[in-house]
Amino acid sequence: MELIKDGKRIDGRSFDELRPIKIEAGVLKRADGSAYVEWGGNKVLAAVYGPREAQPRHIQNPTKAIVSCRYNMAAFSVSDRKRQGPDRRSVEISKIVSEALDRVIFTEQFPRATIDVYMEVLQADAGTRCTCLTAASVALADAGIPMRDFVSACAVGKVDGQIVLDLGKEEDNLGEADLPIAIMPRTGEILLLQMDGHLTMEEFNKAVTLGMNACMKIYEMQKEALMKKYTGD
Amino acid sequence: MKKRLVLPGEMIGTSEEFLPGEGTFEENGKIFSKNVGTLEINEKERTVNVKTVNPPVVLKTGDIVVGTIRDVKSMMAIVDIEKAVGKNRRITGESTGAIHISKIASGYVKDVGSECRMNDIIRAKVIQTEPSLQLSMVGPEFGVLRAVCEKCRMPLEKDGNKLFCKHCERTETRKIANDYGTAEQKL
Repeated sequence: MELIKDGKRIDGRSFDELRPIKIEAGVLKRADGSAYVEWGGNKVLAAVYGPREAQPRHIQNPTKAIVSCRYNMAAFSVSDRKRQGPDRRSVEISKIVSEALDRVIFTEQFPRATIDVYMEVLQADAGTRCTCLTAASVALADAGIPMRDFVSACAVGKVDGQIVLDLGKEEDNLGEADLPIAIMPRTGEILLLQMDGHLTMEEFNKAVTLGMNACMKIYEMQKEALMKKYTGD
Repeated sequence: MKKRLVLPGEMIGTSEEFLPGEGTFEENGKIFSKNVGTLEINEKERTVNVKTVNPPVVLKTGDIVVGTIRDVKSMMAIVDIEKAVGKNRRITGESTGAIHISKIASGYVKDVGSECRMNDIIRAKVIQTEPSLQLSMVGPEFGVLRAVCEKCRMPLEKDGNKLFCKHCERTETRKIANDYGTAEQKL
């Protein structure tokens, strides 16, 4: 399959173009904080509960709060029905998302507590871990949890020898590399960086720069979504 | 007092200008917001605070809480705290508190079991948070809000300063709050 044609990608985007993104804060009534993100074909719902007392008690940390995340893909989120429950992939994503969020939250303010973040992928279309992090960050801010900064995430990849931003489904499946990045936009600190596939050093540097710039755009959208909720009502 | 909506990580000012207050943090001589909230500048004390709409509930001394008696010991009662009165969110951190025998009523209490029993719903005041959560039921507004008969498990009714079970015509003693049986709406 030809993924790049006349300088355009398969879905008509240019190399450094994001898919259309919609972020909404405070969508769930019963959660302490929540967010809904539509990112191209991805649809993700994030809910934050807590800080609340960690149970069972032996998991409590007397000096800081635990950030426990659950990334889950709905059975209907992909074209072939996904078998329900946690699998290798979702356990990994839950872990790395927890670690990224742990870095921005002032966990030492809530000893013995846990901050639970639930991310449900309702529709998947490549780049769900970035979508989830973006949603989780907005939901945490909505929950009034003290944070150093937002977390903005975006994927970069290599398709047909070209470094392209925000891979789509076909590009992700058939491309040569995928590199999700999450940063703290204020300081530029990298919170998450994974790579599958191969990139040369030059390609890697180019990809990281491209991804970081895209994260800044995501950051603006996250701020806008919260501004809209908190000035609207 | 000026008001403005700020977001986490947003720079509010420098350390030379203000003292970082609630909801803010200082990093490399700059002050940033921790939360989504309205910025409040106290010109008199030169402090900046960020007030959030619905912040997490961290118990502090003087807070009024509602809970269930989980265990009655010879010197104290153990309470599972359900919520802080007037807050919509559940409490953060430790949710079990203790009421020492001396903090159950204003007078002398010989036996904890005569003032509160397991599964009673009580209202109490936080008198200590560190190193352990201590509560007090001293005061007319504090005490048992709802209790059930030990024999038949039907709700007890207030009868003077005692509780009465209509079903088995028994009387039980408790440290009763002044609004026993009618407190549900106020929580």
